[in-house]
Amino acid sequence: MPKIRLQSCDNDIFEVDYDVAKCSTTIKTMVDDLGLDDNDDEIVPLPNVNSAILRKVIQWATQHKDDPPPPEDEDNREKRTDDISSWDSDFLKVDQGTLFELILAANYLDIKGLLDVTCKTVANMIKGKTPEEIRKTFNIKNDFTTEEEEQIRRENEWCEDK
Amino acid sequence: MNQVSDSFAEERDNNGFIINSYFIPEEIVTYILSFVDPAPLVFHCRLVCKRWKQLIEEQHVWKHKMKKIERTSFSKLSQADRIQLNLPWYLYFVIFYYDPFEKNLLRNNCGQKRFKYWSVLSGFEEESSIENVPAGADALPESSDFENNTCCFVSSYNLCKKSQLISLSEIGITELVMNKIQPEIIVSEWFAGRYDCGCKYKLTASLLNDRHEILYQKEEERQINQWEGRDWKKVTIIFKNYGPGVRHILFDHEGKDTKFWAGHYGSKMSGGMVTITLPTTSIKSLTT
Repeated sequence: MPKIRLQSCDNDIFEVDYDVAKCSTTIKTMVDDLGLDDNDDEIVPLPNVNSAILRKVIQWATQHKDDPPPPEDEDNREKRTDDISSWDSDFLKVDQGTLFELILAANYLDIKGLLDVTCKTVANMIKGKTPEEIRKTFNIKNDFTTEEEEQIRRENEWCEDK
Repeated sequence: MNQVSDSFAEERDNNGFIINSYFIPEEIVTYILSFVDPAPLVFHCRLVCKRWKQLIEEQHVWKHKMKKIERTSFSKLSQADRIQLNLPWYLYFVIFYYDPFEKNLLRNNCGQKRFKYWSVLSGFEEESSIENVPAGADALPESSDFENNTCCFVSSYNLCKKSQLISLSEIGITELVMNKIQPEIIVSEWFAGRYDCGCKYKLTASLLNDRHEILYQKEEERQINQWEGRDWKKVTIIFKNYGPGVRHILFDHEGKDTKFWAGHYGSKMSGGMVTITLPTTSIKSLTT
């Protein structure tokens, strides 16, 4: 099986099966364009991903390498948004910093499956929380004036009004 | 301006994109929010901070949702229409929470559940006023209006009249949506006569206010002569630009034969529809 070598921003080299690495559309495109798999000495530099996160990403991609590719036709839609597999939910029992770094890495490496499951995990953290609890969870400041807040609450009432 | 106030200003601008000290680009915050259910998204997330509010009131969050979740309200739109669609956030909310548009709001429209959901005003009889297949007339034509049913209501020599009330609040069409958007309301039904007897049919559609007073009413009346019936025809009533205050739609139909024959020789009706069209043009924002 062809292998390729990935270099993290802190200069660690990871040797990975091409089948695993091609979960990343970014890497797949680079390899396909440059024909890197013909040349064992080439290294794919990933300047936006550190070793700890790249290790996690490779672990996720190894688990998911045989998943069917994401549907290209728009008609093939997902049914529910909270359908996270038990393997993924165990895999994502990490601190918030790691979770957001995984999101950024998944976005940069263009791994739709990983981006979806990490974003769903963050969305689930919003569920059932008040605005103040959401702010606290993500360390966001309340930048509304009292009048602005009142206006939003009034709009919410219009939306709920029956 | 010194460096401290510069970075302070920047931090304020990015509030909502800096999540636990990580800068998360706008398109990713948008994508995350698109996984939040419509109620917490609108009621809670809009109150978190200005940037989140702004994202939820723009199109992208809802466009992501459209790709993930199918809604009957969007069923008439082509892929290109969906991409072009530009609705106010409160309408997307109604669609993802209640999905009230482009679906038949009239229940038990062919008599498949006898008289359930209907108020019989006169004439119709529980035992005898439904035919499993139309007697003395053509079978129901090919149309999705009949929802795969083969049956119909049938009237007699007495005036047979019944109605069904659709309350907009129960299907999530708030006063806000009705008054701001005035979506087109389409009311229709199929009717036929027996081949051997003349009959009358009338469809009346009324828009009522919250006190159940009639604001607008339209009717379509048809007479079928003896030997001219048997094929099914459709009548349609459309309401547009009807003004504020509509909270209920009343569907009312009646029929009888014109010969006063004993039995059920009057007009037959089936496949009634009440549909609210998804408004895609000339929509006002919440504050105008």
